[in-house]
Amino acid sequence: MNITITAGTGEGPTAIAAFDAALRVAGVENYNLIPLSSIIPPGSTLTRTTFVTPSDEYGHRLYVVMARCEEHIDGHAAWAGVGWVQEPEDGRGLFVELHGESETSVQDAIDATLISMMASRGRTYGPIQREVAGCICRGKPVCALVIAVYQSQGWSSI
Amino acid sequence: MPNILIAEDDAMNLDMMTRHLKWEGYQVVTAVNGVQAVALAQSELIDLILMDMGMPILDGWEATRRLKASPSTRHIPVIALTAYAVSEDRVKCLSVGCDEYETKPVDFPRLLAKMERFLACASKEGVR
Repeated sequence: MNITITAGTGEGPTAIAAFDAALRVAGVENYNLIPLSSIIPPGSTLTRTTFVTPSDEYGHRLYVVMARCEEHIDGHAAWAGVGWVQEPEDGRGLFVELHGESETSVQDAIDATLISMMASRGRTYGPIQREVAGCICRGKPVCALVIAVYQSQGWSSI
Repeated sequence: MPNILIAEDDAMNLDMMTRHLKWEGYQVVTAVNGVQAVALAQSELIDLILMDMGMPILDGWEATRRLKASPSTRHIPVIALTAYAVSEDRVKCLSVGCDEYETKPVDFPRLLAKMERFLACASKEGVR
């Protein structure tokens, strides 16, 4: 499975509007998002790229690991980040999604969380990878997102 | 890979555009006002410019006029980026010399498709 790492920031008159604007930048605004926890299946490859929504997938379910941070106080920052590790042999791995008030705090939290999760599993993983996005509130609510997109699924099977 | 100049004064937009273009394999040079944009277009080998029209010091309208008036930079495609979505803005952008127009927030797949069209043409014509 190919997992796409995408990101977006946005602002709007409300927090939800800012979230929607960030989803649009990330390229996933027309899906119903289903958050997953933190496991990367064996055989997965991860790609940082612009996510392109096929035109016939409007309203589909989209399975994601998503870091989301909103801010409405003028001058304050919103930072979101996804970190991951994978086993070199078969690609299985772990995701974490964090948010905070600074890039450094999010990066540190990603590292600390993944180190703990790796230690508890007793397995050998590759180096920690991160994608972090942020923005500053200037009078309007803002939202920063980083999203790992697994795959979409339509509704016809239900 | 093509070298793209992004002229954008908003740090959030600049970060996102830079990130997405680098993901797609482009080299990126950035400017935060029109003066910087014109200077970089003259000093660097730039294949395409993404121009925010509402920048400080020198706005995108005047920067594009200057770029298109100069023999050394007039061949560089300029895609205007503006928050306004009315048709008059498209006409205004084209009238100052912009080659294309895209509204913000940017739809990246659509923007990338427009960029690739210009870059493919430049490649065929051997412009660089």
